[in-house]
Amino acid sequence: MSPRSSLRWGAALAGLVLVVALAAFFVPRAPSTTDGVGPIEARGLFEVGVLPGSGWDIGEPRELRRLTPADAAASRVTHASQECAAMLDFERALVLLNQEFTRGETRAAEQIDGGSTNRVSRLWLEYADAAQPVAALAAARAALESTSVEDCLGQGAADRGVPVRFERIPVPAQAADDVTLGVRALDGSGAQRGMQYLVLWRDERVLAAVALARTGSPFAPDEAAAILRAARGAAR
Amino acid sequence: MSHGRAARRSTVRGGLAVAGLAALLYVLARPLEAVPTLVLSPAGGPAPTVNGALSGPGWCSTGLVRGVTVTGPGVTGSASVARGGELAGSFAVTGSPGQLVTITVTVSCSTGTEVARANFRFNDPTPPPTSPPTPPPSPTPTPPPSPTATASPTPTPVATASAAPTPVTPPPTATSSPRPAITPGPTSTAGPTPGGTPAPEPSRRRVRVVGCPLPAEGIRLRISMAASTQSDASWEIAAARGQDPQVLEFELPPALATSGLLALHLLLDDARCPTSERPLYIDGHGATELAPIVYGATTLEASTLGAVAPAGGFGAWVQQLEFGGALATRNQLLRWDTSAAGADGAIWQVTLNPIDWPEGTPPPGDLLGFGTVSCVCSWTLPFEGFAPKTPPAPTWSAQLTEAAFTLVQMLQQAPSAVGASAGTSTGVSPPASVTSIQPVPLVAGDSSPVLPVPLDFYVRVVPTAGGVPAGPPSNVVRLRWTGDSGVIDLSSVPIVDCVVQFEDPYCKALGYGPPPPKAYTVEILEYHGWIEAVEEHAGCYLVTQDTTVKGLVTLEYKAGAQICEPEPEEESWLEAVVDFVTGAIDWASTAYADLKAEVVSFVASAMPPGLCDESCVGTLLDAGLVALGIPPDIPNFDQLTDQGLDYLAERAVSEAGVPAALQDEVKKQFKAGVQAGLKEMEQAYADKVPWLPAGVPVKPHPLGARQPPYALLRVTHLAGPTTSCLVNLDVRSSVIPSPAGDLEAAKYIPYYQGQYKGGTLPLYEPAHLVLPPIAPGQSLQIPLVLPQPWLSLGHAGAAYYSYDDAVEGWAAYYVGGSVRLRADVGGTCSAPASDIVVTPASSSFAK
Repeated sequence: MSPRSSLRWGAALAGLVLVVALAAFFVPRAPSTTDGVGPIEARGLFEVGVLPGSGWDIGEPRELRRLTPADAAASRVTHASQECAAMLDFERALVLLNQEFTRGETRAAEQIDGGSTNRVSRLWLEYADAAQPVAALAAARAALESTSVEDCLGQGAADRGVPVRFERIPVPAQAADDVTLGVRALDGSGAQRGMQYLVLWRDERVLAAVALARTGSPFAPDEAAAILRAARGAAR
Repeated sequence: MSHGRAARRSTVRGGLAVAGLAALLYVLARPLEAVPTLVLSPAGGPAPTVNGALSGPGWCSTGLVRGVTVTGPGVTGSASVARGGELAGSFAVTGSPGQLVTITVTVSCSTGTEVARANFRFNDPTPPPTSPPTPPPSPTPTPPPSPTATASPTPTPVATASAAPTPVTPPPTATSSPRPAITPGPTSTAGPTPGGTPAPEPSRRRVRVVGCPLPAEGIRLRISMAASTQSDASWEIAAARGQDPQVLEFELPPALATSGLLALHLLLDDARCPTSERPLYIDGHGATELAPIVYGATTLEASTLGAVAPAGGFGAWVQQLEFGGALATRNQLLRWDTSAAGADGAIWQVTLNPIDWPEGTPPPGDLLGFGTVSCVCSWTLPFEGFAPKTPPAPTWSAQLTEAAFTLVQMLQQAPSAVGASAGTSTGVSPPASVTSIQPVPLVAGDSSPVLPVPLDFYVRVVPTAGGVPAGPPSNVVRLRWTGDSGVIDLSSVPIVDCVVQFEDPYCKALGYGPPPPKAYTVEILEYHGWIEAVEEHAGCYLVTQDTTVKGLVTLEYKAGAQICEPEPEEESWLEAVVDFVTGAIDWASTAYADLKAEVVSFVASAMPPGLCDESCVGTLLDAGLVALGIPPDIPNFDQLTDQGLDYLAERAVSEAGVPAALQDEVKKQFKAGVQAGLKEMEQAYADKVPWLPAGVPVKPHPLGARQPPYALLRVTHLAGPTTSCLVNLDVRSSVIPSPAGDLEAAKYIPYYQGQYKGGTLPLYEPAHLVLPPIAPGQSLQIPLVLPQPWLSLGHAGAAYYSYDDAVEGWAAYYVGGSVRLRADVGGTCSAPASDIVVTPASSSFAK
């Protein structure tokens, strides 16, 4: 691994303390299932070559842990407001599943594309049984499909000193049961500053997610779909 | 398209905004080009299993830590790397006698993988030598390493190459007398006794010294048997600095290596590092890596007034503080001080978990926030800014919810990325400045989500010199957010007390469970408010024992007889309150000084030499009495001190660090000393007060002056296994006002009530004690002079703007009102227990 690129990636993680590594990236070695999800056993080392394009800096996988009482106060993410009520409910619903969480991993990769930056991350979470990811996915659906989630994101951006508003956009390469959210960020003049796709799905006891975001110019045609497919390990 | 690893390189060095931020956060304290080092402690031991510690500097000096593994045949362990590259962890190794096991630590850094190995050797399969409990009567232990190449005068009394070392009898007190002159001797190296039977190889030890800069040479150690009942023999040996300039390495003579408890003193010709510091106790059989020798002490306190410093008699500096109201806007004033040599600043650290880690090395993810203080002074801690400065181990739910904010975070990092033209080789946004990245606030405004209460924030500081840790960490200050608010209405915010409501699904999900069994109980035995002096006894003394004074006329004084001074000037009870609050208490009163002298003389024979000298013993007594709030000039000082004897003695041995084997004797002597001291005070009054008859022991009449409010409590450790738990005692009060209170001050009542919606009004400032260990089945009686009246002044939501008004307002509640006194005892491994008493505030109660 290139020291400089690893240092930069490590620096990104470190500097974004509260940002936390986004979603983990996982690419199964042998993606073969028809629903686009690699077998659980295939979770392992990230295959650099799977991501389309070049210049990807891949972070090391990071293990995830359960919440403790100390996290209850320190790990709140969403802005406490009416617009974020659905997201808050989602967050609370996740906390209720805390004791059933067994293990998980996150991994991310970043690519500088001229003046734009792509960041893709994948996350997998394993629970004690299949009921928990079903519940989590249901809560995610309620949150991400609510009509106020764009405003909630806008408030989160304002909290961080970024004056943008969000608009929904369709998510490419999604499967039938996926829970998805696609948005683009527009500044005060209406210019696009970035776009993001979030896809969640489950596979038995595992809840998986991929987040793909880009700042700067929009994705080239089919570029986002290719990255999302690669991130999921699906051949769509 | 695929690319090999070698093809991966960044074309834009400073491409990511956070590259500079990472450097700012992580590079400053890291040595460049450091070599990772692994140190095993111990590096040897008896089969089949040994547990030890891992340490070593120089890890991930130019990158970030991804993971740490500890491996080896028969080896298990774990470790972490702290900011600064210091490895810390533990290992367990299993093997057979004589076996050599290589322990490997592998750290995955963002810049690559770093590996270091160290060998652990199991003791050879020979029976260990018998360890004599006392040194041999004649000074013939194997000599320490002989001088080699260093030319020096024959050292005295240190051993030379041709003679056994001469034990040096230490002076009776190892502190006040000048340190024996030390002739520079040879650096300690291994070597056999010349011309004699080869001696067993001496055992090597390492010890870190904190708070005292070590010279390059001329460092010596004095080692002696710890228990004072044993021989006073001691040895002086040379020590040398290791690779780390603050680590000493020395050879422990074999005779001492087979001994029990040893006391180690560092001998330096440096006023900043006096030999009078308490010794380091080590086990001759024990670990190679010793606990650090710490010079100096660091204290940290918080203002009860939040962001305002105590002044004018209100507010106080405390180590435990409760507060309510909005968390995000809380600014807490703290002050710290240290006696560590050369400290010019500090690192402050905040966690949500009780601090229990070595100096400056918190477990990953434990820190809620840290920062620096650039002086030995007061500074303000903003709660709004708390955020882990090092990436904690991520939690699974936070990862999932934050995925939705990916784009927001990217835009935050590189706000100028918009508009950069594609295709330019350096078209990347400049690194964002630190200030441009806003941490997610702990609480956004008043609309908080569910938060468990109470929520404890633990704060401490580590002194630094030039940014490098240079002194012992301070005591921990606990800032407890109660979730209550006297001003801001949080009724719409759900707050669940997970300590009590552990069955709540939210609390269960976070891992709260039923509290541990109740291990302590507390009872409020007595209380009284201000007791006014009775006119006929004002300024009088009582004779404490039948005394005959022979002179021109023989006078007989019977015990209990009253001797009075001329009438003192009248003072209202309210003026007494003011005096109590604002007056300076003279701890150095001569009578009290006589008491301390008695305590010292009793304790000196029982205390191991060098552990706690005269001033130290006196300080222990002072500290105990301060904790109980008992000043020496109150009329019932003797009664309260006598009631608190057990507490004072327990606290003294705990604070002095008396070895367990000696504690009973020291406690016994401490109590005897206090009792003798009380008698001495009685004699001292007669000597010091001119109108009292000389030679007649007296004590102040209990009703001869105002007695401040007081409560007597009893804490019982219920029978059960002894544990090393932290036990806290908290006493809080609230007043239930009566409309029949002081009419003159009644005009303040509506205003006072208007400021507070609900809740209760404290009557006295809360008291907090960390209790010394109590044996199972035993009780400890604790007299508490209740601290200052709680005045509604100088804090958010205060009812008054002037001190006089605040005192008047307090009086309006005190007179005629009832006090609800609540005592809570609990701690780290006991369910809380409480006792509540409601009684008229100005009267007395006894169970």
